[in-house]
Amino acid sequence: MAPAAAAARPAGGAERVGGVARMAGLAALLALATAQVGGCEQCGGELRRQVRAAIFAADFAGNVLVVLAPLLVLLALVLAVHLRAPPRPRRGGAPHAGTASPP
Amino acid sequence: MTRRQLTAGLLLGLGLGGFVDGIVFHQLAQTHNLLSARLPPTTLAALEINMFWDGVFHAGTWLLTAAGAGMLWAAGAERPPAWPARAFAGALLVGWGLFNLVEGVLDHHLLGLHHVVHGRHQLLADLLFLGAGAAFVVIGLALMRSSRRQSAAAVERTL
Repeated sequence: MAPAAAAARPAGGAERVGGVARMAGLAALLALATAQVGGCEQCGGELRRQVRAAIFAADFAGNVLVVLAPLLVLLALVLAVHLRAPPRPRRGGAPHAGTASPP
Repeated sequence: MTRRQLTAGLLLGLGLGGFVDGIVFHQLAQTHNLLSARLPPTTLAALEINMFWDGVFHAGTWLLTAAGAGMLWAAGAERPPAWPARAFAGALLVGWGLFNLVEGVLDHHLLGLHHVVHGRHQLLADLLFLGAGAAFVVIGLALMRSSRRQSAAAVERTL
């Protein structure tokens, strides 16, 4: 069994080649994406400046708060449920702390 | 269902509900953006600004989803006695429904950031969104309750 298992495993060299190929593919993708950004006529210039100025204006912190408000409320709700719920259900399924639940 | 399983289900439901909202309404149907009632996306600049705030919101839903995945991992690590699929599906639905209810009430009605659709039928669409949320919570709770009854019956049979 042991020699068969060893044969099934890829050799270390093959693994290294696979890793290099993956890294090269990732680098090529990144290079392509960067080239596209460089070629984008809308990405620099006046429009970009306008958008940045509008986003990072005086109301930035307020907008962050307003946009994330529902998620903060939801997180607080889940936290409240988590803290109130017993760690494990009682035997028979109803919640009760400190006892194991049925197998 | 253990506490960590429940919390994982709720967090994942919230996150997935947020992604459904973003994918369906912001991207595919393009009926609204996060701040589209305050800044209608009628120019390219306004569209880009709205897209930025959509991104902030979805970064938040991503964090909730990641927290849910982490909690699910922790639930597995404590070797729970059972993985009740029906109760977990119920917790997912409750999380999704809570997302609709809280996001709908806050963003659509209290803060007025956007509506599900803008225009003539916006109130109807907002109410349908809330109604779907309430229905998800009710169905989710029913699933969790039925799972609990099922496991109680299983215990009684073994005694």
